[in-house]
Amino acid sequence: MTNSIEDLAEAKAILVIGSNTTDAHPIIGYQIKKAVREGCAKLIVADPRRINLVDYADIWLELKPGTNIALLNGLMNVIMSEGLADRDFIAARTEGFEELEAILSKYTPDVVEKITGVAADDIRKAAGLYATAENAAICYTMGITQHTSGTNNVLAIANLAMMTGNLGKIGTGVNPLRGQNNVQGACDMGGLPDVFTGYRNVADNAARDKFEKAWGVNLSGTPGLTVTEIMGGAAHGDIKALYIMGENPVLSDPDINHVREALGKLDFLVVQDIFLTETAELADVVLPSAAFAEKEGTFTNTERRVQRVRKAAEAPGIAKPDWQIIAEIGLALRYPMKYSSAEEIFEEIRTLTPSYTGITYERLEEGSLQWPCPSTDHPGTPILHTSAFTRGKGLFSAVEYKAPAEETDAEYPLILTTGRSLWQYHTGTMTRKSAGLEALAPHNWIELNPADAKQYGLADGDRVAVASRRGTITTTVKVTEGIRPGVVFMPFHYAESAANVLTNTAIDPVAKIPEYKVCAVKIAKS
Amino acid sequence: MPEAVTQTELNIEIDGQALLIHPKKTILEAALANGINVPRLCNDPRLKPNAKCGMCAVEVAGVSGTVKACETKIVDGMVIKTHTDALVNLRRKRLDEMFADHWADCIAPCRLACPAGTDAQGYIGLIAQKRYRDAVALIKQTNPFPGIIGRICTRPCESVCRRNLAGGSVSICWLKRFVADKDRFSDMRFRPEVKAPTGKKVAIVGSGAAGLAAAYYLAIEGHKTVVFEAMPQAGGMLRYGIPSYRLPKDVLDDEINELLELGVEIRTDQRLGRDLTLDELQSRYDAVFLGLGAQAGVRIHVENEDVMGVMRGINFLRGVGLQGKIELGKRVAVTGGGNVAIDSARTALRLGAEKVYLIYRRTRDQMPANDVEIEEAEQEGIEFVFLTSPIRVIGSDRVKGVECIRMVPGDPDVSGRPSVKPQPGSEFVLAVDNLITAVGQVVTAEGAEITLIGKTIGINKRTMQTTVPGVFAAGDAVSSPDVAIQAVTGGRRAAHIINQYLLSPPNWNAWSDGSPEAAHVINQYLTDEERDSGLAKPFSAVRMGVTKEDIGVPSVARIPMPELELSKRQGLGNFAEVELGLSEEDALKEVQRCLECGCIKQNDCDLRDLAIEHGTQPNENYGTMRHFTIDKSHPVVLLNQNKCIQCRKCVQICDEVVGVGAFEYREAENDIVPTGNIPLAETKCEACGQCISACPTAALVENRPKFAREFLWPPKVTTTTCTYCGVGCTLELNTDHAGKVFRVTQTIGEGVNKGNLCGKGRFGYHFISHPDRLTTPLIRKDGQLVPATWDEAINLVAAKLFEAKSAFGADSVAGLTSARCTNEENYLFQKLLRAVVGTNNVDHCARL
Repeated sequence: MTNSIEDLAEAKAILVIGSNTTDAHPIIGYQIKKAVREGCAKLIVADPRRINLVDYADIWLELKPGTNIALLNGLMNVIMSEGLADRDFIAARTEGFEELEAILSKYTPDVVEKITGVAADDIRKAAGLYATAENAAICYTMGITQHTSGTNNVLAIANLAMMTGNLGKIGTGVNPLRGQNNVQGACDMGGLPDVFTGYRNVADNAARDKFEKAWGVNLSGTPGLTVTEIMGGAAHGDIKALYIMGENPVLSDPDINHVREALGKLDFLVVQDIFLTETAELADVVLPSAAFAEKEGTFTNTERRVQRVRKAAEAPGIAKPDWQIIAEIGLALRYPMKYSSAEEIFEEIRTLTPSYTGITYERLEEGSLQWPCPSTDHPGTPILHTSAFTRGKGLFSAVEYKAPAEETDAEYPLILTTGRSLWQYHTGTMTRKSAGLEALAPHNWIELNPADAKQYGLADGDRVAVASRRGTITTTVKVTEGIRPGVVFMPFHYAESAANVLTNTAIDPVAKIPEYKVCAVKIAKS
Repeated sequence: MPEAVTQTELNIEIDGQALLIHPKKTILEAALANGINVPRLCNDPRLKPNAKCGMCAVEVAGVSGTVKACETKIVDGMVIKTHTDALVNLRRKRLDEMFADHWADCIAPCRLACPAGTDAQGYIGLIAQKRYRDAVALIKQTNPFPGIIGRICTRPCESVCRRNLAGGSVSICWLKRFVADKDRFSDMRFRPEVKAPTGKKVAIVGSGAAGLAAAYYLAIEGHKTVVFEAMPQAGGMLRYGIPSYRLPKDVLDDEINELLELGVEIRTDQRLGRDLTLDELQSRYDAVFLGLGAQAGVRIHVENEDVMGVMRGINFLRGVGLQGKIELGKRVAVTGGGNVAIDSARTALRLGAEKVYLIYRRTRDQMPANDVEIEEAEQEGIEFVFLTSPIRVIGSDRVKGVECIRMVPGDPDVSGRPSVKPQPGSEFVLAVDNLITAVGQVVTAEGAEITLIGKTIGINKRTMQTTVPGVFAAGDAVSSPDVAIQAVTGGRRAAHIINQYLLSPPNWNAWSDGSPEAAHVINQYLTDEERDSGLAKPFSAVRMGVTKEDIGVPSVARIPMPELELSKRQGLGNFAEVELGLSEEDALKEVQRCLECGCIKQNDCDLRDLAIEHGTQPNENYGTMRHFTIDKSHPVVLLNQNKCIQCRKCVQICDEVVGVGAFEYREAENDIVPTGNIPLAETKCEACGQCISACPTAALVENRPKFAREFLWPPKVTTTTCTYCGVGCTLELNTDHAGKVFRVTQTIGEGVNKGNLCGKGRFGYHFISHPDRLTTPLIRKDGQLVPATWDEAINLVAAKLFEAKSAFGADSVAGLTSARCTNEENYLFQKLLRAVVGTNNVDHCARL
């Protein structure tokens, strides 16, 4: 997030796009609802489903899955034509606006209505609400990123925010709500194929030099493979050995059947986890690790806030904290990887990561800190880009709408979009083993519009087979007005009826994110 | 602009303290921010003040009456008082109103009835979870001798057990014995932690229940404790008064031996007044405790009482205890109605008597002896002669018989029992060879006569100190003969006080002074557990007038105690234990009968805390209390309206914060119900549990499985960051005595979430202690994952990564790090791949 969660209370308009906030991020959901109810903020929701926030929204933009860029460009088209752009901000803080302006003219509300299914009038109203608000914030999640156009979707959002000057001040911003407790930290720490900690590129000689000196080895300057590419590499025999820590790709990756096949081709698979997950069951070696309640460390939240994780219980049996296991493997490979505590590792991170340099365990005892925090007397940074962007000027990107990779046809006439349940989390490793939560959402379901239900002769509670070009699963029907005709929704938490058997491996060319939010399926009573 | 802020701050005074406060603050906010606690039940910083509970009423100078601190904004020059007598009385009245409609038990009746305050509900729950060692640890906080007491207690707990309404009381006492026996034969026996030596020495005179209990708790405190016993072996009445078919000597020895392990020294054959004097003890020890007991049997005052063959019951039992046997004739009469009488009769049978009569002047119902004892005596063939009194012993050189007279019931006497009077002309003679009289014992206090006031040792009830400074006393010598658990309690309480006397004279002085200030000091000094266990009886609401319908469970009979077959009890000198103990299977069945009456929030209830603070008395006017059915429809939230005080915080938080509105307040009924008065599970409830975090009582709690009630010990609370979505809520993991995370709580105002949580954060903790957790490395052998050591697993992983790298290059290796792991772990993982393996093939599911 460019801004802080607390900031949302200061926003006069909030655009929530591709985020079922109340289910996936309930605490932020509370805050948005409160801001709306108390009359502080106007709310625009762009989502193919009638999510809970729609009840609070001034405008609901019920777009067809995969048409975000068309919608966003449509909003910008209106802002331009109605003269609502922040010309001063554009002039002072950005570049590349002309290229964007040139493509926007064709995204008139009427054109966009045809692509997205959103009424032209609603597009005009939404643009007005967002652009005339004193401060306007945008929140988004995987509904934006999990598309073959994911990167461009994000760029389009940035365009909208920059065009209206809604960056660098309180109550504004481009705010991805990150889905997992430490997905921010995993990225910050260099858990990505192309960057070291603090997002320094592996191909950058100066950055590499710094890490080579610190670690005492020569490092590769060639960016590595992403998750989806690693699975492809395994399938092709290029990847021979895979070490998976705390991930369950057999349930979380698209086209599960393909993932199983790929993992089966490896010479060696080691999985480190707290349970024998669907992925661990395939491993040659399984390493038992401590859960979050059983170790010390830090997590970094969606607003870049570094917070302490503290040990409350002993790990079961002889399970160990993940950091100890990794260090032992390093030592066994004759590399001097000896740490006596998580804090000792954090001290090493600080010295190598400018944005974390000012953060210490001692300071965290007094309260959390938001990076960048370059020195121990720096208070942290609640809002990014207040006077300049990381690259200096904010760069507009002229991005165009492109249809999703897989479109419906006569055989697969419905669009499947996937997401989370309020009571389950990810592949269910933790929530499905928490009795109360499991009782609240014990099995999978598929949501479909009454019109579709009628067409297929289906009623609430019917069992159906759902098939895509990649596989078939069975699940239970839930008929709801909350989803548009032609679109169906399934959560992805359930191994016994795994939505990711159906999803498409088509990926965004830049971020390599799979298109979970759009694939073509058919359903039939089973 | 800081200067502007300073200028607009207002001068106020609260309880004599001058304060500078920001103008928009309420009196309550101003007070709390400056460490002045104002009682309140309906206030929550997350919510708009509703001013319903009335507890935060304060006085403002120049304003008549009181104002509510939560809704009154401060004005310049305000002078506020928060704790005047009038305010305290007002709050007391308000609390009384709330408790007049609070149909709930804070503490379970069994625990309230126990002289020792033993938490029976607690240990039964631990037995149900097979946490036997923890169960013993819990019992020993109030009673160090569960093996002994579990066999001989008179069980006041069981007579008040609510299960009596549905199949008979839970076998509380037998369960205590079960778990004590379980511990006795365990490899990991519970032993209390002994504090570092204090250098203080305590002499204990008498090794009965009182003396031994005092020794146990003094030893734990680190004092050198020496027990002096007049008899050849320790145990007092437990050894010499209770026959071993009821209390086997090995059980007694085992629990006495534990004292030796704790460092207690026991010196036997040391009689006060013969082998040592009180003066000597006082000069050699820092404190003295007298646990002398009531050892002398009383006369029955009938003609010819001193002829040979007449014995006092207590002397008879002691003789048997010392010598193993006493010569008796074939026909024996025992007179008396208590346990000593029954014990004497059953012992006589075991010493070869062919006919044993038990003569009692009232009826069977009125016998003070335990029912079970009476039944067993009947089974064994003792002949009861009720409504009969001996009036003369027949025989010149030895007993030939006893002349008795029939008694008839009359009007109730002072004890409430019907009086009895002799029926003239009903005399008859029982031909017997012995008469054993068991109608009571008295204190002799040999060598400590100076402490006697009347017939018993006199003590200051508060300090337990005798008329001699530094000399304390408890047990039968103080109270006259009573049950063993009373003596244990006396000994424990004396130990706590002696500990204060030795370590902290100022606090002890407060004990000795009966002023309200002293009571305050005492309350501060006592732990909750001590307060709850009878040192000072704390407030507990009591559910009165409970019916079978209220309990709402089917009748299930209690599991019977397996007993030694009659044939195996026979034979001269056969003192084999009669009650064989519940099997584990039976005990685990029996615990299921517990109704768990005590409140899950008994130790952290805002309402009860205020009641204790204000000296509230239990309201017995139960006729006016409303009875509600508990709503258990919801998977994670339980609603018990009986405990609701209509503060409306749940209504507000569900509406103002969560935006769901699952609760409503109904004006006409003055109650709070799930919106639409339907089961909670059928409302729009999102199961976030925010209502639980707001509820000041236990009207809304987590819906837990039976026995998952880990409030027995204060939890360890660890502040950490949630493991679910990327918001990073601050939450508190509560860890129980067994090291298991059993609850998630929050501090209002803390973290990015400001004390709010969602359902996953609050209820998604069970996975941590799930039995399916991986506990050991696994290696695939012959297609199967089999357990391995860390060395094997780590070496194999290292070898395989090295192999792939050597054969196919570093880029043939890849790693997936984790968005669930810590920064430190993610850093180390990519370092391993980059620096050690040599590849940039590292990614995680940020995209997934």
